[in-house]
Amino acid sequence: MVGLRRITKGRKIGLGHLVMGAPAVLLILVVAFPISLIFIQSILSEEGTLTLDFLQRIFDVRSNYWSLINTLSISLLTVFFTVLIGCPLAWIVTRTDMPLKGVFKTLFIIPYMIPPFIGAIAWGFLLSPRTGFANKFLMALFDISTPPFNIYTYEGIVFVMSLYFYPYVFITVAGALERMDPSLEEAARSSGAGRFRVVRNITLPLVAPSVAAGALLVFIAACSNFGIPALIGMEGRIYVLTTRIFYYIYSGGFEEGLQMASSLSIFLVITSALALLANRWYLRKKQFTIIAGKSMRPNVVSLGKYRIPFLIGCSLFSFATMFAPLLCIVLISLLKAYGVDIAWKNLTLANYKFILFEYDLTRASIWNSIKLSLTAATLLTVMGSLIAYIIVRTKLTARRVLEFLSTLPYSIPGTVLAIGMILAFSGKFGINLYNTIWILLIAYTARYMAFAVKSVGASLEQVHMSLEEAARISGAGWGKTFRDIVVPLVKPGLIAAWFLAFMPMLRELTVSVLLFGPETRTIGVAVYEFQDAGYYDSAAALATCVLIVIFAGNFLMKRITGGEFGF
Amino acid sequence: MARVRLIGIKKEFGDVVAVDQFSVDIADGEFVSFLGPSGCGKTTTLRMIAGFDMPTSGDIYIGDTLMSSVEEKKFASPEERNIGMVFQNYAVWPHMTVFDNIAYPLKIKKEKRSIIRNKVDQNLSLVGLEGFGERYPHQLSGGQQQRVALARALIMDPEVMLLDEPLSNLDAKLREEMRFEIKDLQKKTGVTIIYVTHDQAEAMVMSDRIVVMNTGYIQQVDNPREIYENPANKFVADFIGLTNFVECEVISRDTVLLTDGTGAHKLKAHIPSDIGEKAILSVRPENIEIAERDGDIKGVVTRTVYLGNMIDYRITVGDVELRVESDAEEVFPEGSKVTLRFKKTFIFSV
Repeated sequence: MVGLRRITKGRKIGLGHLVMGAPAVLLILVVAFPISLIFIQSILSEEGTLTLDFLQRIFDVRSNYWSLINTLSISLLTVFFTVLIGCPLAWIVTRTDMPLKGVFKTLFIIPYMIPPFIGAIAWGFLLSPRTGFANKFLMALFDISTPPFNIYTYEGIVFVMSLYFYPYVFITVAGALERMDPSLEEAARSSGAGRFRVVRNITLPLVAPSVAAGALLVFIAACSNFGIPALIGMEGRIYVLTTRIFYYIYSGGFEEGLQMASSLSIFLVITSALALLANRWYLRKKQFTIIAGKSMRPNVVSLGKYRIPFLIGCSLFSFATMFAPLLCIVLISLLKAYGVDIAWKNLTLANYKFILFEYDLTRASIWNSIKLSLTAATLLTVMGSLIAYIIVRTKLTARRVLEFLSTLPYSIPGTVLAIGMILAFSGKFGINLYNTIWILLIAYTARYMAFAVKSVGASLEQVHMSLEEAARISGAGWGKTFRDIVVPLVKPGLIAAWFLAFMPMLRELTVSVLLFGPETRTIGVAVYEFQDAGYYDSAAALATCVLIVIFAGNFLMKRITGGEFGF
Repeated sequence: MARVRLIGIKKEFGDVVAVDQFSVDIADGEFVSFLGPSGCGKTTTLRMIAGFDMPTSGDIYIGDTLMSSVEEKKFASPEERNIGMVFQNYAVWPHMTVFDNIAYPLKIKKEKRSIIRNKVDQNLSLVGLEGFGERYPHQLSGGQQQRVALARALIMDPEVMLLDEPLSNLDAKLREEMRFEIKDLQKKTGVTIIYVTHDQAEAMVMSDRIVVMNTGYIQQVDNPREIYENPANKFVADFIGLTNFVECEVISRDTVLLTDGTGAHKLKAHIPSDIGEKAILSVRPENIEIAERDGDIKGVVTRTVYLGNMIDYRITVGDVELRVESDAEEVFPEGSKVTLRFKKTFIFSV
């Protein structure tokens, strides 16, 4: 109950106000200001009048026009394929009696944990036209002279995106299928509907909103993604908005390039905003509750003689889409040179020795990423907790604004956030952080703030207000109450927030690739540069390290939070 | 220990007036209940005394200290008021042991360790929880958690104790037990207690005085007996105990005419001076005498329920059904024609 002190203290500002006010001021400075600059930059001429010139000028260049078309079409196709993959898989693990379905439920989520750019690298190793393992294998197997697949194409982008983004659909649909009140379907059966009639008339319409929710996440992930189109598309000169923006920042000259990049950013924001609106429009009349309060046993379909074929199908899918690419990365990281035969004598740990102990660039980038992630995770956990506290516990009108500002940097594409950072902090307004580690720190903190606000907020909702009031009435002031009561009680939320932010920051690429300077490379950037420059073995070794940390971290988080977070 | 005064308290939440014109003077060591249906403003008033909500206008004194006054721009925060409070859901901190929970107010005051240990032990035995100090709240029953909350509220020798429906989460038997325990604790410590409840039996058993509230306004402030026997208005008569209401017309200074289809009976009654022509007559079930003949009003028994120590009748008189409680000496079966006489009635405005 901050704000009550107003009267005792007269006009004096209390500690509580200061502690509460600081995150608000910071949010305005590092979120509202940079993001509004993008809009200002794109529609305001040098004389200060409104103009659409900049937005029009984008289309003078054909590649820009195509990048917009590609972004839309690739994202839509990806949505189509992820729904096609995600829904059946969700149905199999929740509503059938396939053996080992619990194991597969975890397996199918794995692609969600793997950074898409590492996935792109892996699929490049498998399906590159000249050297891809799978291509060579198939050519030898069927005795053909031309490689059957080329990943470096438009279709290749859609393919890899579909394989790494289907878990969004899978998770939301599996959740709905699991929690759906079984009596809804049973009622249809006893009304005389056959099994397939029930699926068509009852089950599908009821999970449709969840499919839509998953599809929206996929669409936004696909149009904001940088890693996959950068590593797969740029080789074949297939541009999307994110890679086009990247191109302008690196090849367009600072002022001119930045102008074009921020105008392109507007289209990226509009694209994801339109998807959000379309989703709202679709869901406007579908606000029904299908979820029964307690968890119930869902209706299970007996597969009968198809149990084993289903199991084989799922295993093959998992092997081809998860193990093969990961295995491929690990293998290449262990080879003496990229392209040599896979044999015992060609295996070595030299690549790891090189990136971890010998090469200063990777060592510096690892150190940078660790420093950045540790600091940003801690910063955003503290700030996010205070913001969550204001949002959940006070009746201040400003809390809605805080909520919006704190979640905005994660809802907009990372590329757009990065452009905003460059516009705001490259000297134009007296602060020049460009090429320093500080601009990365600000961007990371802002980007993942939403995690802390959401996860601490959720914990805080569980802590009844009277627990705090009991401390106040016992004589503890606001600060003591926060320290003695609130913090210990929301600890699981705090830990989860820290981890949830720390893990993706450690291998962040989209934002870093636009903000890094010569001295401030990060792990993600280093992997990207290795791959881009053709040092595949080093890229693979560093990517393997990242994967190990991700899997270990996920395991650790699951342990610490008692299974509440992590997969 | 302290006297508590609330003077002209008003509380608005946006456009909604939660409490208005609330003034009450609570004596040192008194046990006062705020009683009323949910939404009547009783908890809001308690929270204003505690300092969790700020009155829109009015003054609150605890002892001689002005704790809250909008006019003088004064507002002491909860931690500055030295009040003990027991919450409806106990609010026992789940991450602290029983000992740490109870010791917390003393730790805030930076008391010496040895003093804390002594006082906590003392308070543990006061609430009957000797030896429970090292347990965690989840290892305790609801009643035990409630005692922890009581001990925590008492440990800093508060001037006033505020209890917000503290027994509503307990089962019926434990609730009755705790009523007496809380009353005992008050006798032992002499603390002023303000007790919020919607349970009239609780208020009747424990309170020196009851403040009956409805829709944000005080309806009556009096001791339990007066509240029951001389309700100030229709709401109080209805809320406290059982009563029958019959519409009537005031036809002279001491006579009303029952108009509710009961067959136009004239009755003598005490009529307050501010009552208009249309009025309501209230009569409690035990204040209706039932006899075969010689009564004032004729009726038919429609239901007879034998309750052991008495009989609960429903008697139809014209269009009205009256509830009548009578001793079990003479039983009138369902369908019998009887006559009724009202021994004690109240006339309220509509």
